[in-house]
Amino acid sequence: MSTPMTFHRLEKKVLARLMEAGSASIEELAAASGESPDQVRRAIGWLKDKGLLDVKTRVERVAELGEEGRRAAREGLPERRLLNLVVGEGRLGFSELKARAGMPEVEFNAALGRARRLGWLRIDGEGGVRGSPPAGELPEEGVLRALASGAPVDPQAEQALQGLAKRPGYIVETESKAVSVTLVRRPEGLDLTDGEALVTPELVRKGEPVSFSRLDVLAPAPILKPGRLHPVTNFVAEVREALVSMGFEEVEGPVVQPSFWTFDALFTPQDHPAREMQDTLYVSGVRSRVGREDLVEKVKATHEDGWKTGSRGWRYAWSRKEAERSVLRTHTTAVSSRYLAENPDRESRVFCIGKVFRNENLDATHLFEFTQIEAVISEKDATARRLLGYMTQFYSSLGFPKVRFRPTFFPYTEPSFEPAIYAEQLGRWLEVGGSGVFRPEVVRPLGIRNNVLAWGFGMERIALLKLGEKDLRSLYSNNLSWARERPECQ
Amino acid sequence: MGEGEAGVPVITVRTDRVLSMVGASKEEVVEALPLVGIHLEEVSDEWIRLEYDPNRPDFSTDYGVARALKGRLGRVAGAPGHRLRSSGWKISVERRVKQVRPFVVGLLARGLALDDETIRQLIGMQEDLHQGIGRRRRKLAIGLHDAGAISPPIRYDAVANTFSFTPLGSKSAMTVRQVLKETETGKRYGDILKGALAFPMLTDGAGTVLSFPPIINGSATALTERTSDLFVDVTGTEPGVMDDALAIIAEALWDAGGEVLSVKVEEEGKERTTPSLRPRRMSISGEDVGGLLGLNLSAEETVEALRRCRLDASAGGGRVAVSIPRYRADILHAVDLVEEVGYGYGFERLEPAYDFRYSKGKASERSRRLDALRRVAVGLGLQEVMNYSLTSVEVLRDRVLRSDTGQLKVDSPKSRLYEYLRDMLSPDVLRVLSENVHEPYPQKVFEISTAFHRDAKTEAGVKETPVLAAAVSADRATYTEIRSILDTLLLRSFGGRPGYSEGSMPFLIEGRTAFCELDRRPIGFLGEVKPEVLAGFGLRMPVALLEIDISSFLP
Repeated sequence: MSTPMTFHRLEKKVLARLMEAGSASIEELAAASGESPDQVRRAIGWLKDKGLLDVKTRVERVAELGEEGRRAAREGLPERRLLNLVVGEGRLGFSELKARAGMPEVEFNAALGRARRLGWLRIDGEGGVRGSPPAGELPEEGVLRALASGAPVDPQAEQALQGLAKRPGYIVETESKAVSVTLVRRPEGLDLTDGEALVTPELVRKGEPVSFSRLDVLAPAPILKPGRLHPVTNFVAEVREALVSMGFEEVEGPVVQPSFWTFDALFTPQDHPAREMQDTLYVSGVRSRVGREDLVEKVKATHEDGWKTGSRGWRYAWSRKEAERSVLRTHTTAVSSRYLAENPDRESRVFCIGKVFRNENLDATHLFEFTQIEAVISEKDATARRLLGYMTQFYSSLGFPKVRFRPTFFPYTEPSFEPAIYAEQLGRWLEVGGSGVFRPEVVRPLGIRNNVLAWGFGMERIALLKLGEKDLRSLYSNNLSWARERPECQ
Repeated sequence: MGEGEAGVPVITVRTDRVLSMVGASKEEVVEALPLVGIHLEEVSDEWIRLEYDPNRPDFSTDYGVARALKGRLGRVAGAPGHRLRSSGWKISVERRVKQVRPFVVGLLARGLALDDETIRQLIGMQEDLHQGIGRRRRKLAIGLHDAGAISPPIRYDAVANTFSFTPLGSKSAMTVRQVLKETETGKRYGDILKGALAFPMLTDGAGTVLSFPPIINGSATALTERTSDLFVDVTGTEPGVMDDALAIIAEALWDAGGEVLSVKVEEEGKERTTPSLRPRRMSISGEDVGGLLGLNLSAEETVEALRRCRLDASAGGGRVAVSIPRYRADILHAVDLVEEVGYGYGFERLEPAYDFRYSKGKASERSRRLDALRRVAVGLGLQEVMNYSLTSVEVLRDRVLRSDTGQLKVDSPKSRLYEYLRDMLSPDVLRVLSENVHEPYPQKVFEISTAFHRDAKTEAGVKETPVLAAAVSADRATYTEIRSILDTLLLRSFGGRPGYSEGSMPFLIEGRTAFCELDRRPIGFLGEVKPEVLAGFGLRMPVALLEIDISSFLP
């Protein structure tokens, strides 16, 4: 037993009309159903697929007047205009007629030729043109009149229409498709009544089975614009989770710092190029206090001659004034160093995620403000090898299992390493930040006896890699279609 | 910790020269470079471009690079040894110059063959020392002279600005004042002598000018390819660093095939011999190495590793005694020697260790709460945006009709577009909307960031406040909508129930603006933005916005 056919609301409307009329055009069906021609076409497509309809498309050529045709309808055919000129005068000299006609040479010659063939005009022996009395309407003139008024063209005048079509600019022909739909099979047991369109609270309250109209479940629906988190927020969360899962605790601190914590406590000499305004942003007209007076003398002595750290120091006169400049932190190590100074004896594993600043021009590969992630380990028995272990595990958990290290230099760590991850997306190694073991010149003045390991990196470069972007600026351009359309899982 | 900590110097060396100095193949050299801490930028059969760390100014010539590579590749071991004989030359320092640029040291080198590339290397070294440890010639400046053109003794004195001589690169004599005003180096480095009444001048026994430090040399003693004997002077303000520089130069000149001879510096009857090349002595123990690197090396292995780094070392009494040639100015502390052990052993062989201690990790309460706030905002259909903390005065003040209320700015920013620290986020949020006028509406956005205000009570003189801003823009964007967003955000994120009072803001419509309060303390504002402000931003749709201080909701 075959399942009875089911019909969409639109199909039912089309069927209803066809069962009355047998066949109809799309326009008639649209008028009868109150649906748009597009909707009717969709229903016809479905019904045809069900084998109920025969659809014939007839191409009709429709003639309309072109620019020249409209002029001829207004002013008369050129041969008619020549006849009228001559008849008014009885006889006109050839050149006189040509001048009065005011037609281009080619058109004039053609018009004169046609008028002579019709027997309207003849040329006498002395180069004069004589005309017959006014002649009756030509079939072409009837066609022009009909087309100009929008009336149908007499099928018998087809030859005249063809003739006019040969004249340049007289007739424009367009094709129009007329679709004629014929019902070829009546569906069995057809119920043409419409089902319910919507589940309403009333219907739910009744709680009875109801027949519903069918929806086109294949039709596309609009894409919505949900609120989204910024991709940097997502990546920060991913990094935070990786560090928390490795046993690190999050610490925070201000963006604007005394130079003391950003540089001096990190054994960066006061004339170091990184401290110059060219590279670093200082807050205008604002000065800092160091906060920890007890540390100032020790840090000063360490810079000058190494103090009790066993170092020979940088050998210059340290200035308190320089340490009191307020700086937009160039790294979150300013936060880490302070945390360590406040917890000198504690064995700790902490991390800090925050904005850092450099006095750079903004371009595709440089940001003057970016997000730095830094992890610090303070343990009595921490070693450089353990630092490498931590970094390898960390970058692996971010999806970069190939990690390598190159020795490098930073003023506040020894030894120092530059980690690089292998970026499959780029097919090459990508250097990601710095790392090292804090120098005794950093930790001893802060009262720390532990070995302190640290690694840090600017997050945007890796975020870019994960997002498949090329330009760092794209992360902070806040282009809404980018923010709205990017897949959340990337 | 992060990338790009300091300007990294770069040198270019001739491939064939380096290969013959080291006695190794190109492949060996390319492989060994990173292992001595030098970054390979580019290599061809003709040239190698290298980046070296600024703490190793001895890498500023191919001689220095080859010296380290030879140790690393096992061609030689231990410190290069030299005997320093006296040249009999003397520099006398006059009291007058002590006020302006107090110190001078020097050396003589004989028997050099100065081809083009050697001269290029020496001048490159001079420039790197000037820029790096010389801090752009402030701490020290170096003069290289043809010793054959000099009649000792040499005098280091100060002269008036009317003193004239023919500087390098000039055909005629110029006064000191002219040199400072007219020559390129005078303009670039003249600041170092700012305010000076007398100007440092090195002259010889015949009155010929060697140098007007730290600006320019005299033309009479210029180097040529025929120069075989070189006189080097270093003047400056930091004797220790000047000695380091002279030692680095001496080492390179020895490697270039010259014999370096000492010069006496006489000052107020006291004499000193320069260059000062006495090695420094330090010692390290096995625990120093093990404790820092996590490597268990015998004393012999440690000695071998150090000698591969061109240091002299010997084991005894459980410790390793190290003798550090003077040109290794980077070694400040025993940890630097441990690093050398790492280099000598091979950092590439240093295996990661996973001997982590267990501890419980934790995100901060503050990030936990901010994440909660973000989740609620996103649930309300708001898109998160992120702007820089720095913006322009045009956006922060002018376009939102605000006056100068002492908003903070930074000194010498590279761009005026990012000069002011934001004291509120709303202006930037309007700017974000203005950059999205072609995107579909409605547009709903939020930003969580920091507002900066002057505050002498804080340690850095700046108070940092966590703030939330949000805006809606659509055909209809009303006070009611933004108010309901604010109430929902605070209630559903933190259970907060703010109060409101009538308020005013320069960019919000009078009568459609409110202040938001918590426990009667104002925490922010909200309202509909004035059409003239929107038009000023190039916006064509109404905007309602809010901005509040969220510090009360955070720990």
